[in-house]
Amino acid sequence: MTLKRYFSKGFFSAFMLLLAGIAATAQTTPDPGVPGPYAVTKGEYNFGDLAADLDSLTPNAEVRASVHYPTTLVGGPFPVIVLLHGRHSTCYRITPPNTSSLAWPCPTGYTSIESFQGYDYHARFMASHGYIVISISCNAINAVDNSMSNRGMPARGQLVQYHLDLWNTWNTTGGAPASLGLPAKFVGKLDMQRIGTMGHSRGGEGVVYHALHNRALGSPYGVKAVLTLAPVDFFRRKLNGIALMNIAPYCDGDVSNLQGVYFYDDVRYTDTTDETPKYNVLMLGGNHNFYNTVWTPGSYIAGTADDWGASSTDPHCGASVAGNGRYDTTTQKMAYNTYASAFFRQHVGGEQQFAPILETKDIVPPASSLLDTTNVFVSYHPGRTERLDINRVDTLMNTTLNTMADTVSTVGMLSSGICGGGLAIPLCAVATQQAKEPHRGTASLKGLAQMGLRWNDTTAFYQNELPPARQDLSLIDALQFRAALRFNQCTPGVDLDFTVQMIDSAGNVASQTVREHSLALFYQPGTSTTLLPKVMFNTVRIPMDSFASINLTKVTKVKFLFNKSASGSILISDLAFVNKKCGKFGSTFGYSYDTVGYDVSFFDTITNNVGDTITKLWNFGNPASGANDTSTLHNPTHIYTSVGTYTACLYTMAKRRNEWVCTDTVCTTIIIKPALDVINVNEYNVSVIPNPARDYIQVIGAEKTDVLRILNSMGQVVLTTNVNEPIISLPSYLANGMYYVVISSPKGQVTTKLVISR
Amino acid sequence: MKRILQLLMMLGLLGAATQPTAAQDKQRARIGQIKQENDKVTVTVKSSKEFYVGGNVHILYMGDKSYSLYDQQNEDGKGTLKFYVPADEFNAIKDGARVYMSYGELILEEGEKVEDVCKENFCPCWSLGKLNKKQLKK
Repeated sequence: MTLKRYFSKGFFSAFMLLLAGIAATAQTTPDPGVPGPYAVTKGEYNFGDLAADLDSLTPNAEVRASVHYPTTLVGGPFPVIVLLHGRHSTCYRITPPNTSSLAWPCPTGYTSIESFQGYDYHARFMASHGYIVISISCNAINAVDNSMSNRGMPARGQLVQYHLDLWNTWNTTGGAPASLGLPAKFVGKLDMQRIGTMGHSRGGEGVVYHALHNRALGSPYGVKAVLTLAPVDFFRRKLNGIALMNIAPYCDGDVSNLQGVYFYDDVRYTDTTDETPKYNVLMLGGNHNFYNTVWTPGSYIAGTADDWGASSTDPHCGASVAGNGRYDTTTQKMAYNTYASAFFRQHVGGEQQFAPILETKDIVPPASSLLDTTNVFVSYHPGRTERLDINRVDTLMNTTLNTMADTVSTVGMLSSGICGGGLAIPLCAVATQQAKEPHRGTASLKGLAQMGLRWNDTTAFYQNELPPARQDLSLIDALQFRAALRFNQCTPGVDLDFTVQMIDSAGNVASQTVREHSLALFYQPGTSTTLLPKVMFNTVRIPMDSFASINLTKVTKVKFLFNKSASGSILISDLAFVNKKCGKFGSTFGYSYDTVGYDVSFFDTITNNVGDTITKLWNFGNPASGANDTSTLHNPTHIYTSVGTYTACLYTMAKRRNEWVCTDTVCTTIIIKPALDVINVNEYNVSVIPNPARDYIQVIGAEKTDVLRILNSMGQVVLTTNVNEPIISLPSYLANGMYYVVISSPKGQVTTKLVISR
Repeated sequence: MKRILQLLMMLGLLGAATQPTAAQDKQRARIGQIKQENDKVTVTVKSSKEFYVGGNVHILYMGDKSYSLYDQQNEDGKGTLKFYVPADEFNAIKDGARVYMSYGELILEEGEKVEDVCKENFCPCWSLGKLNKKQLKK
């Protein structure tokens, strides 16, 4: 019986994780699905059904879109998200039975289906976080693309660029249409160098085409992140150099072979300079259509469907089967919203606090996603310098020689070997239906090369040896690989586990089981003849701290010991060390209310290795302050725009001499008190003398019960005392330099600088 | 009336599109017309129900060839797909060859034939019978 069947809901998921020994049973990372502080306004513009003359489309396309934006537009420029829907019926008959049509423009008696409005829930959400979100209609392309050998993909890319060109004009010289307000309303409000795009279904390949098209034009717009949602990938165009997330819904009844995973698989090693990460999110209960409300039964008048089939009897994907694993329509939208938010806010907005979710450090889904640990899985491929490949498993040679040019061996395996990759590598033959094996590619373009490992002996193992130059793992953050159970060679319904071992030069062994860190080796659910179960790889990440019992400066072997089941079969790929932590590297910061009002001074301290090149970025968590919300200064001061609670973060990056990039994030909560306190602070007239001081200070105007704190330039408290004496001695350990004196009373708080000069 | 309409929408009874997966009720389809214009042959596949409109493509298999350029029309609840086949290729296909259509590409193993994969009740794949070249109109 699978984990899924026993523990399909959140509470039980947490319970299961406890049983499995996974420490994290609650999401410890901030939740990216919590709505932001901005009030949101929606607008729409429509220049006509045939307004856009695109090079690669005949006839013309419509120019119509909705836009969600922060109502006041105060601050900015705001980052931009563009949404592109997929192929769907274009029109429906106005009178019942509301049959749909694929004509464009709509025939007499029909009206258009507004697929572009189907992501309003997501657009509104992102706008609440300070984004301007544009959702584009592309019915004209959908009406004719099947008669085009390029399936309308270049036209989709051009249509996105067409809209960005419009917005670029409205952002610079004005001229926005009256339906959006005054012509100059958006002047200076869009940051055209911070753009994210999302395409659903055929729109997914469309936004990949757009990113490549924009690049071919000299990158007039800064596309920072591309999200493909249940996409097609007919043409296997490779997009490197831009952060990419693919979302694969397991119960997709339309693009049922989940071919969008090629967007991830195909670009892992093609560009040796690529520093951008790739993510694949497997949503185990999602279908194709429910991400779009206009395509969802009950939410729109025509053309809707549960693409999996509402009457399906599949035990997992059949929505009418008791105990199935499907997401309901609300869950599916919340799941998308949450993971898309994490992705866009990290790679477009520059926020870093969601990295643990994206990088599989924190596998417990955010509460807002309504998911649990058994029904969403993430794959993560770090950028080049954050990864040290042990064995890419992408050539047949990698069965005996790994990517580090050292020995690979297997002992006691029933069978092992690399399959499924380039045309010279045989298919893995997990199933005769490609939909059950999405990674394997097509007859002319093969997919992911994978290492197959099958055992029926608990002493069997697979081992990669490390060359002497790579044996010091003390700066490594984690070991990771992608894996999936090979269901055609396993007992139906039985999940797998095995032991991962590190062995040092003295022969000491440290062991961890996969299940202590991941539930990725589940038996894939479903029994549909042609479509299920499906193999899809998910990342298993094991922190190096887990292997701390051995000498991590001299690790000679990484071993997979298959001692957790009498038999089994798995597929693996992308075995690598990742180094987000980078050993001696870390940052902390302190802060002080520098003056009366909303000014806060920040002080950072960074520990790093000699020779590191350090860059830092502050994000004060105050988007309303616009460009001032970030800083690259050493000790910046930020003026908050209003009272409230803010999360300020310091993101630090060190480029090491070996070119590895190390990053660190530290955040803290800043509370700006209400105006009443500020007024009281004005009335709270205290001062510190002398200044500079040598051995003592005097606090004038304070009460004896007031508390005095002295902070050093790094924000660390070095002295705390009550102001109950007229003279306060300065301890000798306080060296010469600049300090901050913070005096707190029931009236408020005052901070002033103090120089100690002895 | 509005409440009734809303209720029907909630129940998904209005305007529901045909579903693409194996789970759907079997959708009947047949070759309706074969017509040649210049160097292009149009093979029309008809159904009494709408063909699904989604991200994937319909593919027509005739002999050992497959074709996926087509126009799709859904009108009054009925579906029509017009596949475009180069005339020289059409002429090379043996009369009486089996014709199949799938939604999404069928990946065939070496030596495997479409009929091995596209069997009865093997949706989303339709067996459209044998090619009858007498249907060809010029």
